[in-house]
Amino acid sequence: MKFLTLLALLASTLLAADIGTRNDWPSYGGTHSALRYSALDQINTSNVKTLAPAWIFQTGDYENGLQATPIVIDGIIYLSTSNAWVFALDGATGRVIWEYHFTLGKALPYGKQNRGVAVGHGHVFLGTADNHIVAIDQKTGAEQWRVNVEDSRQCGCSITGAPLVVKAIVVAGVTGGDSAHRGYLTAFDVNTGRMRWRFYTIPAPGEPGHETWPGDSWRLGGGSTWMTGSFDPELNLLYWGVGNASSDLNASKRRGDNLYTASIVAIDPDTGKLKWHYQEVPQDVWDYDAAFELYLLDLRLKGRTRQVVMQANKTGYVWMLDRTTGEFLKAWPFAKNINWVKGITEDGKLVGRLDPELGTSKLVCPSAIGAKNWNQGAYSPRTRWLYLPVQEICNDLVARDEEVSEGKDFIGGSWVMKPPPGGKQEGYVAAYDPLTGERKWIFPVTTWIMASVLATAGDLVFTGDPEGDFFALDARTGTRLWTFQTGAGHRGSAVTYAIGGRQYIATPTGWGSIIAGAQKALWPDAPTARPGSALVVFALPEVK
Amino acid sequence: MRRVAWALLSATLLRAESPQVKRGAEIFRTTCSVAYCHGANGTAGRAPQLTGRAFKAGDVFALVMYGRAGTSMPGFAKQLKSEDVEAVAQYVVSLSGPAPAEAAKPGAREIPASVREGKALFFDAVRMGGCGKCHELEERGSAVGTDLSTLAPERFRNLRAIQATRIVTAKPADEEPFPGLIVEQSADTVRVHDLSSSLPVLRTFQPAQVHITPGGAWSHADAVQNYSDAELEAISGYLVWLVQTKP
Repeated sequence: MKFLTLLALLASTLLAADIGTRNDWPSYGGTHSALRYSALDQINTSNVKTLAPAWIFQTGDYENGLQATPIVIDGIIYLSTSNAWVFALDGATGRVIWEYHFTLGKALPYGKQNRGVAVGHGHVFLGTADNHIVAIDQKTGAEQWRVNVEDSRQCGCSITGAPLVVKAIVVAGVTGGDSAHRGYLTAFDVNTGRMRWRFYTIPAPGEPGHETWPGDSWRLGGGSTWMTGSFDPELNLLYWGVGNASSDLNASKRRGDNLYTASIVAIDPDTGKLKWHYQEVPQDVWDYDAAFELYLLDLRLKGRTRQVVMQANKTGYVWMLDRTTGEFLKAWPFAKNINWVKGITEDGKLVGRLDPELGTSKLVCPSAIGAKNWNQGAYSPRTRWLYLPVQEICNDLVARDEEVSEGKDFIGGSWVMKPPPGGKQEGYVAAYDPLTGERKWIFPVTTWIMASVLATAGDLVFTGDPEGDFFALDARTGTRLWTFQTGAGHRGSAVTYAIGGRQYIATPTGWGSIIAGAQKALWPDAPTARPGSALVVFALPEVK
Repeated sequence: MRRVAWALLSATLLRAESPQVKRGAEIFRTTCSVAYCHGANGTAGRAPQLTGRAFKAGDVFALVMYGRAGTSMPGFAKQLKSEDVEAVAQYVVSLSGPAPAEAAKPGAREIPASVREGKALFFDAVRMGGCGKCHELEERGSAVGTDLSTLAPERFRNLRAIQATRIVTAKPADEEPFPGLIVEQSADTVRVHDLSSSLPVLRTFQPAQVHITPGGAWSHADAVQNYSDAELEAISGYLVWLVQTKP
């Protein structure tokens, strides 16, 4: 018995080592499993109080804050900014090795936003707010190829998410769920930029699923792919979250399930063909998306080890599927204020929907900003808990009939952010056991957390707030162990890496993005979140 | 004239029929008409005139809620309930005139119904942008190939038979050759569009990395093979209209 326990412990430790990052932070979510967990433990609960700045890099691009996840490979950091500038920095000193400035066109449907680059096969890949994908030489910063994925003036779409390198392709998503646009994923050859495949998130006439769209509604029905997917190399499956159906709040012209919007899709990366799909929100009328990060992990559920894909999204629920088949396993609420459904059955059916109506306002929770926004959570295989940035905000929704016009706004209603009924809006970081949905601890903040979470083997959880504090929590208790004021609000994603045996924590700082303005309306008395654009890097003091 | 009359009539009907617009008008009068702002019925005080313009309810809603930074236009999110703001938005939309926004834009022409389908096919999103993947017209598409607005209408008679004159063959080191269009060829840079991909790729090389020769394995007939003859005829109609009505 003891031997078995030891074996199990050993197995879980090995697993933990496997799915964490080490010296590098090679991909958007850390590894392609997107857990934002690092196996580095030099910085830990016992010494984090001595963590101090090692260097700071100012990008000089103060547009819309610094929203990126830095990529780190062999001690070099690749960082992108809202104006589509890319920097290669020495990870130990902050020295600029090269920089690349893309010139954005005038049509920027969702403004200047950039959440990071992908690096692989000697190239750095950048998606742009005017809908280009660009390959840059990883060594020199010279442009190698670029593709105009779709004319942003026509489609009302752009690329704001980080691309993902999978085998010999780079995959780019697209925004456009709040415009009249049909979403897709596009794969390009890493070396030549030639298109390898395109997967439309809305099936064309004759394809399975098309029958879920009446008339011509499929042509401009949304389903954007605006965040970054995950990849399981053993199953050879690419997973991507698909956004809301359009118009966002009014389904009167698209009665039906509207596949594959608000769904998780699994795609064969060699062909671009759909392997399976799971729709979380049929006929989404709340702008709930299912576009966020997809955690790939193995969990023991009902006595069986399952290969799971897990997502926490705007709905206030965590969804867990078998990632080999797409079978629904479980959905559990992580937010306190949820009324868009009364519940979700054991087989994944929504019960008691609260759909917006034409001309009548309804208070719906969570809001279209979501109980969690695109800033990402983290999972630690050591605690086996999921760490999420959560906000409790509702919205008054009213649907409206809207003319559809390609590439133009296509919201179909209005939302006004409101506090939850009988309470007030709040934000926090919380830890959850995904097996039970139990909240293990909660760390309340002054306003909300709009930065991603980083978990490490030092049993630390890092994130930052709009007021400028970047801090470390004890992963097991939620106690704040260390804080540093960076001077600007946090809207990016911190990472960790090591060079020559020294562990670094790097956080982007600089408030911005589409929801940045909402902060003042929600918390009028809170200090103004400061714009800025710097990478602040920390390490333990060197022993002389 | 009949259209104008109809638009006025329908605006009047809308105003008369919808309780929401009626409510919007009431709030407008107590909120937006006051203090030298938008005038009694949106006919302008010191703030902009709202009648006869082409507003979308969503835009007006957002503007009324949150105001416009740098101007006197305040946000009313705190004072008004969202359904009241919505009513105001609907009222302001009801003041809109028949003027189509497209025609009002300098340089833009109102497109006749007969060539509308041709234009839609030219930029067809279902065909990944169609002809617009390679040709930019009317601020749409990508300027990879020839600027079609400079051509004579006879050139659009048979779109399959068009002979491309600027095609080259680019042979990068360690890669198969591809048909291309040169964007830049200087002492230190060669930039060439790779036309072999479904979406053109703009490649950048150092001159020593790529060998360029005139002519290449590319035909316009292949590029337009996803269109039927009838569709190409409709596209021709659009292009002929475009160059013939050029200001």
